[in-house]
Amino acid sequence: MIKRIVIIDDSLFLIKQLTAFFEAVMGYQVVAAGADGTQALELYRKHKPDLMTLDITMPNKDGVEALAEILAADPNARVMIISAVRGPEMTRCLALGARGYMAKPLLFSDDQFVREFRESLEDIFGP
Amino acid sequence: MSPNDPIVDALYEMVRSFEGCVTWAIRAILETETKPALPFRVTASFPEPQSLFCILPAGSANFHSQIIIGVEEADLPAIFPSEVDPKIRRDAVGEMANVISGLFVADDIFISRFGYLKPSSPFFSDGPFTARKDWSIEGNVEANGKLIHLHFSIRPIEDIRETSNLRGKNPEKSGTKP
Repeated sequence: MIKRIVIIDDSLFLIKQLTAFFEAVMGYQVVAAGADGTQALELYRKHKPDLMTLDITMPNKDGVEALAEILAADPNARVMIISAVRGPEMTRCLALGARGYMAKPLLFSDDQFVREFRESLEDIFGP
Repeated sequence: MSPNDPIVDALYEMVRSFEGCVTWAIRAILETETKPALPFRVTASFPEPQSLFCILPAGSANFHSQIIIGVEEADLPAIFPSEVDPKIRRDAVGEMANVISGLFVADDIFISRFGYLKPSSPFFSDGPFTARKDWSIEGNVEANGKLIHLHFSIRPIEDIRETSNLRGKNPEKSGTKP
């Protein structure tokens, strides 16, 4: 079964890059994308994706708040944080229950980065 | 802020680190060779005039900082040759600011001087915007034959509050009609 992904990031540039990676490299299907934490909740409820990627710094509602609310509604939600933020928010997201964390910039032309990203996804979905 | 202010000392201490974060982040995003046009420097200046500015603030209870990226909008197709959508090209400048900020505020020297500052989302200004002449780190990076201008400044929150109070008490300075 093809994995269904929702991407949440306030950068169209990043959404485009991630969509290309998930669909062309991983063979997943990106079913929706949103630009803030409020949309993250709406799109999670609507699509119940196999994985949601979530940025931290976003307008209206940030990724940390959205993550807490998504996990409160569905403790089994698979959420991977993809953010340039490396401070205490990163630790907080992992403590809250994020399944993985990738730091921007996303180096899709770097084989080692792609291998690590793929391994993180495999860890999240299991064997 | 005087040249002897501890913040100016900190800027001198961080100048190479900022230059390194900027160069690496832009290289990673553009996937092309980038280099500073000249070594980054500490100066009391406004950002150099450009047709597009991207501003990314960060803050804590004690400090407020901002990273400003300035580019000529006409240069964006050359800077992002593989991107045809003007909206996404502009958005990619915001992503540059986001990545530079994320790297720089997590830098050891930065943390030791200022603690952790939480970055905000970037916003844009088409052309000139109101900026105070602050001591800052500034420099230009050359990428795909075009220049990208960078500017970083930081101020104590107390300093900002004092300026706001001063404006409130003096109609001429606040710009309101007497």
